[in-house]
Amino acid sequence: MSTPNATTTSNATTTTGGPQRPTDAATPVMRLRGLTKDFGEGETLARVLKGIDLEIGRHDFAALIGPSGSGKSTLLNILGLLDRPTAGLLEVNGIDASGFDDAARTTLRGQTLGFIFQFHHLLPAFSALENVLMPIRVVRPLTKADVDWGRHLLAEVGLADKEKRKPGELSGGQQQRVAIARALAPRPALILADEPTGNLDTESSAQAFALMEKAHQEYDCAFLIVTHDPRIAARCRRVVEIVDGRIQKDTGER
Amino acid sequence: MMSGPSFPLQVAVRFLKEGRTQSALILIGAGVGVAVLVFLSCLITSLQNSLITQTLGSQAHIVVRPPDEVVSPVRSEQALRSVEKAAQRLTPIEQWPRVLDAVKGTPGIVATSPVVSGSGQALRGLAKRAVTVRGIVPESFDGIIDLKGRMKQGTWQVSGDGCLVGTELARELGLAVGDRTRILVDDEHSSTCRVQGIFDLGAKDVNLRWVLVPLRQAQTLFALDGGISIIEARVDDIFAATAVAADITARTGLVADSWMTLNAQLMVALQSQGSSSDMIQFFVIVAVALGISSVLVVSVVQKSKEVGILRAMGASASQIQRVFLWQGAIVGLSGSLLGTAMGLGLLGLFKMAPLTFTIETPPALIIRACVIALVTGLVAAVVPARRAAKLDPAVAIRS
Repeated sequence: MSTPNATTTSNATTTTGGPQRPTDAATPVMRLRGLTKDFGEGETLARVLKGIDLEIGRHDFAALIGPSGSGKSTLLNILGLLDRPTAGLLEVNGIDASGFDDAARTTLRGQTLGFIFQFHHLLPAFSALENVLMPIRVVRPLTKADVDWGRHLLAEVGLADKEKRKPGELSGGQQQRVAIARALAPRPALILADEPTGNLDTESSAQAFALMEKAHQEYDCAFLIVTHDPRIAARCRRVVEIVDGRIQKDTGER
Repeated sequence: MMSGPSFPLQVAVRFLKEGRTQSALILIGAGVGVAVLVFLSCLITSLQNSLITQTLGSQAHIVVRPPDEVVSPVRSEQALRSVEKAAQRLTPIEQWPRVLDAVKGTPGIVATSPVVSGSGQALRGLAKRAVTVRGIVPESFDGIIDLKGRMKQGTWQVSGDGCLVGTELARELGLAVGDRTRILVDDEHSSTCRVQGIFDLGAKDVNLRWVLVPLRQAQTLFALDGGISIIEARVDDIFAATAVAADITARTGLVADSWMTLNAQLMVALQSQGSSSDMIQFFVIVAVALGISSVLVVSVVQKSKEVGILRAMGASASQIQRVFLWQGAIVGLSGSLLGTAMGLGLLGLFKMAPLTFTIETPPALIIRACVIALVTGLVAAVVPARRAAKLDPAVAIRS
């Protein structure tokens, strides 16, 4: 099942046309079965994820909580196709991606996922609008429609007048809003948010969360939000708690 | 806004613009390197060209002559053991029209000329000078040594009982166009000729010694009876002269000396000059490559978070690799533009100083320096680019 870790060749099984959003609404965006992840080897081998079973549906708005060192970040990296599981099944849109090599994961990631990070992680050398359009730009040259779409998203997060600003010229809250717009740009099926409000003041935090809720409804996009903030978790319709590499509690759809 | 250049190129440009100080420093580094390349190669090439031009201004590329006569003494107890070479006698090239055709037919030869060359004396009144009498066919000789362009007075087309003398000889004997001088070869052979022209071939010795007469007259003077003593030839690639000369020897059985063997010392000087310049250029390139490389390695570390973000956005490892290769290429290319400007500026300063030669700036040398810089930039970027491509996006984002 392991594909050679080639970096340039793209896996033929992944790419057949544009973003893969099956019409079948029942197919989960992510489906994990008995997924494990080990770090190190021999004496120092540590099993960080100890058999995760999890499904993220097309309309989920879920919080992922758990103490530090519980394996949250590792799980998020695997869900984000940034890292590969050691064993177990990882299905994305019904396609088994557990054995995908770097190139195949990159393609699938670009088509399916959006990211929001704790420290916004915008590219400082690019303007707000360029940052928003970056997930599209990495795949293909931009069209007029893309640029209009990027402007629309910036307007949605209330930054229509800031499109030419560089990240360094924006406040922390504004930067995170640009990051939210960027996550939405590739029209992803799922947005993975890693402590998206962790670094914001209360007001900006509330604003950012409201924007994510709005995006969830307006653009029919699932969210998985890693958070330490119980207030944020409380406002999510589903809460998944991970402790010591296992899912301890999953409220499911509420 | 973002359409147009390729994505990796665009990111590369932004990264370079972002790290302005750093980019400026490697740009200057690459520029100085290219400046040295341009300056040194133009200077050395010009100097060498001028030396060679000067040397070849009065010298054929290849001189073909009969083999030295080997006198073989009779091996016997009673035989006289002292052997002397026959003096004052020119050995003719046998069946020279056939040999001339063979030389003409040798690949690399562009011009040939039959010559009678021997020593004699030029006399005028009481003045007497030892000279080299050269019987030439002006039209073909002009293809070997530029005579037409080197005339100070008179005509270059020597004919009848005419002769051409150099500026030095003309001065020493007080000759002007139209004057007569007597050419003495030995007790039995001499003739009086009329100066038809005065030349300056750029070498004092030649200007003092050469007396050019029509071939026929020289044949009479040296009692060659329609024969010639040497064939002079011109090649298209002067540095191939030795090889062509060897070829001629193989074809004709005669001795063929190239200007390179006749000027062995000059060649050694040129070669060591050339190789020390190559050496300096090589180390400059290495230094520039290491400079670009180290700056890019640092930039990969600095930009690893950005690389991680781009990877998360769906950028492939090969796109990331190209971002850094582009940076190397851009630094190499803009460094070469900057360096060319600096190098030419430096040469301009040099031109103001009094020099014995003119500094040329052949486009080929400048293009060469630019290509070297571009390739150096690319090669220097390979290691950093690979590193960047190998960054684990999950780790890089958190860095």
